[in-house]
Amino acid sequence: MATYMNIERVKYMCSCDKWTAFSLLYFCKHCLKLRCSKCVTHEVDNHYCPNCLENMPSTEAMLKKNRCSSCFDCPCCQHTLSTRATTLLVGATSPTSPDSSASQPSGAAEEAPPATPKKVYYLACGFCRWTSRDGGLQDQPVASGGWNEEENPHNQQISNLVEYYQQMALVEQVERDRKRTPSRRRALLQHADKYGLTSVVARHRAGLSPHSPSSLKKGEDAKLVELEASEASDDIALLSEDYYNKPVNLNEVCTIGQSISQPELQWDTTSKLKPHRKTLLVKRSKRCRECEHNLIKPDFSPSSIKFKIQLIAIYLVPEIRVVPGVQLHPKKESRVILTLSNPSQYEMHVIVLPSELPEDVGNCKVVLPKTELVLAAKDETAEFDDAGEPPRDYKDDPQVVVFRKANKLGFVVKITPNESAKEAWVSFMIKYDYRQVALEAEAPQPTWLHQHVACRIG
Amino acid sequence: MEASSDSARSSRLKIARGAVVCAGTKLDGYITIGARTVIHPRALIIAEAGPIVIGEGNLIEEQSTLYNRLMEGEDPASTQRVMTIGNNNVFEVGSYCEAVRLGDNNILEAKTKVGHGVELTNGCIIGAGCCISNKEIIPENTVISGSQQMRRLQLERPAPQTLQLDFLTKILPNHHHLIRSSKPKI
Repeated sequence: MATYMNIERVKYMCSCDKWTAFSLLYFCKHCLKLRCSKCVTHEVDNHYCPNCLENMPSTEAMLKKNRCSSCFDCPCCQHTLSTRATTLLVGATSPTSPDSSASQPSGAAEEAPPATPKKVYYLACGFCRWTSRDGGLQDQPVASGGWNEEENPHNQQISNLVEYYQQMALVEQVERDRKRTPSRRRALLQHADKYGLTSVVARHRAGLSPHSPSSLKKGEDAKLVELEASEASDDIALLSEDYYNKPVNLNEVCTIGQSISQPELQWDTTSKLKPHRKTLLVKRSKRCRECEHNLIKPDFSPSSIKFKIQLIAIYLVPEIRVVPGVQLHPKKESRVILTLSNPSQYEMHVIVLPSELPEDVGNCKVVLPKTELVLAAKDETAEFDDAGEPPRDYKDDPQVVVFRKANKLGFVVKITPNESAKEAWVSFMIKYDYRQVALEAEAPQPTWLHQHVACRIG
Repeated sequence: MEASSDSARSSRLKIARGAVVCAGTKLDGYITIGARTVIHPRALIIAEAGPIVIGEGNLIEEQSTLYNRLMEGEDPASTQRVMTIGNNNVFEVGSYCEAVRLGDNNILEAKTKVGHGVELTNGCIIGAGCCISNKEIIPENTVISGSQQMRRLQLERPAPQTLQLDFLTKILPNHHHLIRSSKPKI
């Protein structure tokens, strides 16, 4: 489906004057304009884990550093790790061999009756077969959680810095607040969340110290946290002799991808790799910048792929496609068939006009049909109904309209390609009547809209 | 005609007791199959350049190929190269193996290709779709996976597929004709 829709051959001009593939465009019902992903505002709706589909509010996600608490990625191939269960015999004669896998517990139990089988869990990658035992981690008695993680060696410094910047931002904020009129303060408050500031500012407004009450600093006089500046030192520990003398075993050295997947630790040998927590994904809603109406609003639940609001251009704007298999010759006129399909449930009238753009992407001479093209309404049941009602006679000019099928028609344009150009692009403008979809019985009033279209013919 | 070819085959084919070899498997040449080995229908085992000896507890899934191939310029009459496959190996669907020596507990995942010059030791895993054809000996417990054919040493070798083999020896005879194990000649 993605390749069926995502074609770069036909591009529409977005309202921000950029040529964009038709499938990537949105259509604002309120401004009646096309919008691309660059001219809408993106908003994060909610965070969720792509593996366990757990939902998380953004504050919690920020606390957990945008990572899921229960799912892990393989440090070798970044695939999701799965939890495996195995039986371990406790009190058996050989507790050092934890390999009595689930396949043979009964036989082993007979040999050593006092031993009690105990279930333990480890993480395994289904793709590259990495297990948490390879990373030197002990098996866990509980199915989820309990994995102790490597402490970030720079944690203290990072939290110091964050604290420092929060205070800096607060000081700047206070200074800016003094200059501005009180009426604008409220609006400002909404944008102050850059460093997680809103709560601090709220405290400040309430006349409290910006930190917890136990903090000694008071109000604006609070001194900034003293920070030790990082210093570059001249003495660097020498590499061990092994680096020069021993041949590199590629099986044991991490690839660059493996070591930078955990930037805080950056392992150099594969035996040290530890599983890392899965990063969360977000659902985004998109909003028109002009009228601030929602264009895309996904369903809240992470397991649902549906949308509450979905105003994409494919559902609202007539689509043009190029019928493939055209032989073009330079400086020779050839017939190219373009199809036009109507996505709306009303009849649509389309007029094809020459392009009026000052900087035209088209490099061919083109003869467009002069008549108005009438598109039948889209009927979703028509595909499944073979007999159907006989098609209405549209009295088409056979020179222009080649075929007609349900809500689609093919029309002919004559193209004379330029000699020098590598690719033949044709641009023109379509003028179509758009009707707002309404629940009332009577057909809504049509609005005539103009749209620039460019097609790559060959 | 058919009977004679059948008897000719049975003289070249030795199947140990407890092995399950489904009819519809193509078995060509001198082949010995060890106990508890399961061979699915439509597997392909061709002993062209000499006999193939398959050990115990192997699982050979459908559309996998074991091929003891005659190299270019070799005389079929004089070449006698034995292809030995150890115990508890798994050949997943669509794998292709020309390696002459295979140790124990190896796994060839779906659609892998192992060339003639390769020797697999023990506990090696060739990940899905990987292809190794250089002349080399793969060290023990090597895992090769991914489109980049990343190599890594595993701490422990993969567990034998005992449960799966037991299940298949029970289930397969219910739905398939089997090639009978040859009677020991005294």
